[in-house]
Amino acid sequence: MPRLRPMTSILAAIAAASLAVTLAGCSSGSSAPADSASGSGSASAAPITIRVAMGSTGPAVDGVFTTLKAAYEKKYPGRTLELIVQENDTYETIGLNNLLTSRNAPDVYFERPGARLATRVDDGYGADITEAVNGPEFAGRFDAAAYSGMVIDGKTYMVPWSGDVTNVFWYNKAMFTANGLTPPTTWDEFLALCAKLKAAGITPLVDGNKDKWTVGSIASHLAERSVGNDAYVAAIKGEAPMNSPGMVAAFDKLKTLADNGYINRSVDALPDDQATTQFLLGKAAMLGIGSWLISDQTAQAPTLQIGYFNMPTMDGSGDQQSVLGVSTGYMVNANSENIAASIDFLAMVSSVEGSKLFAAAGITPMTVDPFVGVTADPNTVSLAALLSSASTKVTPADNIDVKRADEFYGAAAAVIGGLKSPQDALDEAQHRVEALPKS
Amino acid sequence: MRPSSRWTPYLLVGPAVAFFTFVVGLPLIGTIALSFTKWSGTNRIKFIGLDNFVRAFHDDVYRLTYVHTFIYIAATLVLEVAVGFGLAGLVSVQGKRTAWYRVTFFIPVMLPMVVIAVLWSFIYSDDGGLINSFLTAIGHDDWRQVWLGDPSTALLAICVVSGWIYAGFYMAIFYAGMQRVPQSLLEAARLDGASEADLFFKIKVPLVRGMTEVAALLCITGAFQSFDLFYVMTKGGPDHATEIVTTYLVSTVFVDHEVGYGAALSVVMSVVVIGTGLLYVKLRRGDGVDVEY
Repeated sequence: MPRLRPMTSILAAIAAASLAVTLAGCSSGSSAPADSASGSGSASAAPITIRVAMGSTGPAVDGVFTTLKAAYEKKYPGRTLELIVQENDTYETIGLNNLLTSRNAPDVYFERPGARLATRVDDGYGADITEAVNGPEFAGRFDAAAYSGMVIDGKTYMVPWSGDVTNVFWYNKAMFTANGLTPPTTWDEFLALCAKLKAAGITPLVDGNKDKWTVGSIASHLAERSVGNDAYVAAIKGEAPMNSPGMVAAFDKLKTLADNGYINRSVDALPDDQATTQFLLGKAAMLGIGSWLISDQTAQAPTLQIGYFNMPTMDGSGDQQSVLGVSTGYMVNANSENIAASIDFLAMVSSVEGSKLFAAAGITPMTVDPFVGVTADPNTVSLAALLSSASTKVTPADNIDVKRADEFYGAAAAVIGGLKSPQDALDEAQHRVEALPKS
Repeated sequence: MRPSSRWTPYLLVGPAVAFFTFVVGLPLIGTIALSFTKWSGTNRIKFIGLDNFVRAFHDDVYRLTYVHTFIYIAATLVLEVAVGFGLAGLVSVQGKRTAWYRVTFFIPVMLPMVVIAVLWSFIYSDDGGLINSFLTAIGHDDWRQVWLGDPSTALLAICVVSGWIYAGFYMAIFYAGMQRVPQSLLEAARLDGASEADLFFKIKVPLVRGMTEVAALLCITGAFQSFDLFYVMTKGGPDHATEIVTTYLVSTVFVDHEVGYGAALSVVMSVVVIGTGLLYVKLRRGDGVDVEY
């Protein structure tokens, strides 16, 4: 998850102070829970505790949850909301697993749609909340598209929370202006732009691929543009070969960047945060990363003027206007004894007031009206519009199948590092994928 | 003296056995049991027999981790043990004020490993790193490397850092051993005209040979436990060029959530470590004359 800028903490705090009372007193947006068995909705019912688990998204967003907790407890006397906020990497690797298998498992937890959600459902930790999300508490709060990857066999298992564009090319406006450049629309224009920057002694593109997901994200997008979304997803799921000619053609584009020195040669050794710093220090003209760069830019280089452009169009059978993005959401634990009360909290998170708080804190809520009445960074608003209006939303490979994505990303890293040819890298990835046990 | 009750010995060793069972025995049994299962950590455990072990032996990356581990062992035997031995010889020279050097060489051992790894990552950095900046300064721009991003240099670069840390540790061990060499022996040799080099190679080295063998065993088994340097500096990359067993294990269990497979990899690693240790002990010569402690 992206880290958020300190300024947003202040804005969020101000917004929180003014909206907390509204949230607590607001009864029209969220009705009393229907499940009396949960003990919810009644001041005379036995006290209950709702445990909500998440990875930290930064102090501003964590602060919003604290505000919502106070509002929830005020609105529902007898209920206590316990926030379990872990360091994000810990949460995503061992934290959530340990919590779910503990005796005191969370009632509500942050998760990603798609493969991870499906795994949680398979393992018995996903409550079917179809009826609730179609009920009055969530009425009109989300477009149907927001539930993408959250529905299995017609049953909804997640309440959408935030959306991120996972990869665009950010550029330094001053550098572009100084070199007479404008954002490219085609891949050939992009290469010509890189050549011009390199000739001017400027590193065209910097990326930090030590963890393999940054260039892996670019590779995901290139693959979709080359072979189409269905074929790309099939390749990552192991239903089609990863080393097809179309996939190799996509990786050829990475090779072009590496061979011509258009990307920093330390790409595979550099962590993504250091690549971000290099870009913000003006050591490269472009950076390939997601929408959360805005937080870092505001915190580290507030005077730097940056813009972005989506992946340029290219020859290929994919959707050339596609956007690489991910959404997140909250699931309700199927083993929870307080499912209705848990849903009440998620309704509060998704409410108009809740969305405003999160938008002010720098998150892009997936509700229908995330930025109404909120002063947000223009790039944040623009990227949210890009994602919501995308003709095809491409999912990064690691949100489809973690293990196969690891091989796919590894192949991309080998190519961008100049270690292997696209064909060899993808052949090797395919060989390893075939050796994986059938799920 | 005979114990007053036949239960007394059992009562005396009981706490130790219980503690060992709790912290070693039960986890070991649990790991072995899990190695025959498919389990993500949250789903229902499924018994799959030997499938994990069959998969492990066909896993290219896993096999590669052992190659890297043994290269690491070979390199660190030189950079840690041999260099530590040499340093011990230097700081044990009579008449020199060596305390400052001993402390200096030992300081890296006391630093947190993660701090060292981050520090050396900056030293090796392509952009403004100490080594590449130095090469540029002396006019050898063409020698600049992405030290941690090039498969041909990444593993060696980590071995150098490991040597920088642990040479001081082995120096301390050997220094202690050399201090136990009888002064009368050294004095007699000096009276016979032996130089400091003669004392080192012809008296100290033979007398601390047993300690050298222990140090080598520590180095070998310790290499299998290495993790933090590799994880922080390269995360096993680039292209698995620095992937060792422990980094692959962590990735398997905590990223891929394949706990059963990870347990199988752990069991195989344990067998390899124990086998290597036993082989080493078997190969040790037992006819040497050691310093008596």
